[in-house]
Amino acid sequence: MQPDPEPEATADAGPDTVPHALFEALVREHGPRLRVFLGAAVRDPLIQDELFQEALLVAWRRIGDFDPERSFGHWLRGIARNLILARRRADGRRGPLVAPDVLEELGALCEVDGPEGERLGEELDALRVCLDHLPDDARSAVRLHYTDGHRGPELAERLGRSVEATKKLMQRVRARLFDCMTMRLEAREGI
Amino acid sequence: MGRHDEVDRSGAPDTARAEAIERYTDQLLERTAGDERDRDAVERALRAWRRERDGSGESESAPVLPLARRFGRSALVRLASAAGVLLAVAVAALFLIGPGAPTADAALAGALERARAATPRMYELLFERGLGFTRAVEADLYVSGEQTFALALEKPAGTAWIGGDRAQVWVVPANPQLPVVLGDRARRTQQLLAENDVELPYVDVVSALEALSVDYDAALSADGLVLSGTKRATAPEHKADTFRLVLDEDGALASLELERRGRIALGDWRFELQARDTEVDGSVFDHASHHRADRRVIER
Repeated sequence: MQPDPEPEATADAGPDTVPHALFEALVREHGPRLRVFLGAAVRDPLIQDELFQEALLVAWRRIGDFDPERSFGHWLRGIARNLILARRRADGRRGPLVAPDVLEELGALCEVDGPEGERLGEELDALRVCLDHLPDDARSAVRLHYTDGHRGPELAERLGRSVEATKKLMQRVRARLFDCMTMRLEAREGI
Repeated sequence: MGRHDEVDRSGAPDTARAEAIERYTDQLLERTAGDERDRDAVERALRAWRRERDGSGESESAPVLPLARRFGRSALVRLASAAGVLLAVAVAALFLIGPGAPTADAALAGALERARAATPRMYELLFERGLGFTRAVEADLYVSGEQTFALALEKPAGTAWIGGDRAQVWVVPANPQLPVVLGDRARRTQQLLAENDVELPYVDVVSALEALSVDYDAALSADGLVLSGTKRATAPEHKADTFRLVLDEDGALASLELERRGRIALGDWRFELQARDTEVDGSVFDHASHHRADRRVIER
């Protein structure tokens, strides 16, 4: 069975099926990046999952509002952003949700000029290379935190630092990795 | 790149930007070992969406109408093109009702089941990438069940071995003066491969077949031995990733060709496996069988 490049060819298979399949394909393509956005905005994984599912349901209900000339990922993150802000207003407190100005910056970080589909993979590839180039102590800290799952005082103890110093170290390492990753991606794109 | 432009833009509060970068990088670091959790979450959410959609009594065609009214049929075509899923949509729709779908799925599931069985097998592996597919990795790949593998790579100094299982990954450099390296977790496989100038999307048959099962729509030939397919969601401006898989008479993987065509030719790659009818000794998966007992071993 050979795929036909024209969508009209699916008419015999049921034209009503196409939008469902298309929506699923779009979600599979853009969902992982939305998960990164939500994960950065919301610490609680349960709330992340709730918001992710809610965003998809809203997107489906409002699919008629989507401008197909624009990025589906951007539109999806806009829905998620509004859900976060609405939940934040409903909570009436800071809670586990990120502040609005940080949320805006996160949205900007997720933006990509070109195709989004493989961007996350490209970023992770670049990040892995950057990890290899970290000094030993920084790489060790990253491994203990992200691979071995040590956090807070436990991580500090293993690194032989105070909790505050460990927090600062991780902040510096993440900033350094972000810069490295960005430079690598730019170099790859020939910017 | 929009993201970098945003990072450098003036006027944004530095603290907010710094916190966003911190949080964003944290999330990426959480995913350096793999994106399985995201893929699982996406599938869970899609199941919830299907339940919501079907439970609401909504007509299957309901969402089509607003789009069609606002943008016309051509808009749907553009939408599909922009998402890079034109082929996938056609194939997915056909498979939803096509009589061949269960057979193709069953064949792939059967191959996966056989690959998961702990029967050692050997494959010739070829990985080519870049412009004109000039950067190649050739190796003998030995697999046994899930995640247990050993790669033999010919180097100027002799044969280098890289292998691993669920708990450990190891490298035996071709140069006998260099130490054997043990990694504490299988998830460090890609890192150790990269350090040894080996770039591979898969180091075991199960992972490759699982990716095909999840991400691809497959069709089965009339003789039931050849599966071919296209990736369900491919990035815009990319050609669809394709694969061709041949089963042996027992339904196990005999050969696999998996090809990705990127936005630029530098990102293209082709991954091939060809089964060899060779009896595999289980010791091939033990690093100690590839080096002298007194060779230095370091753990990382």
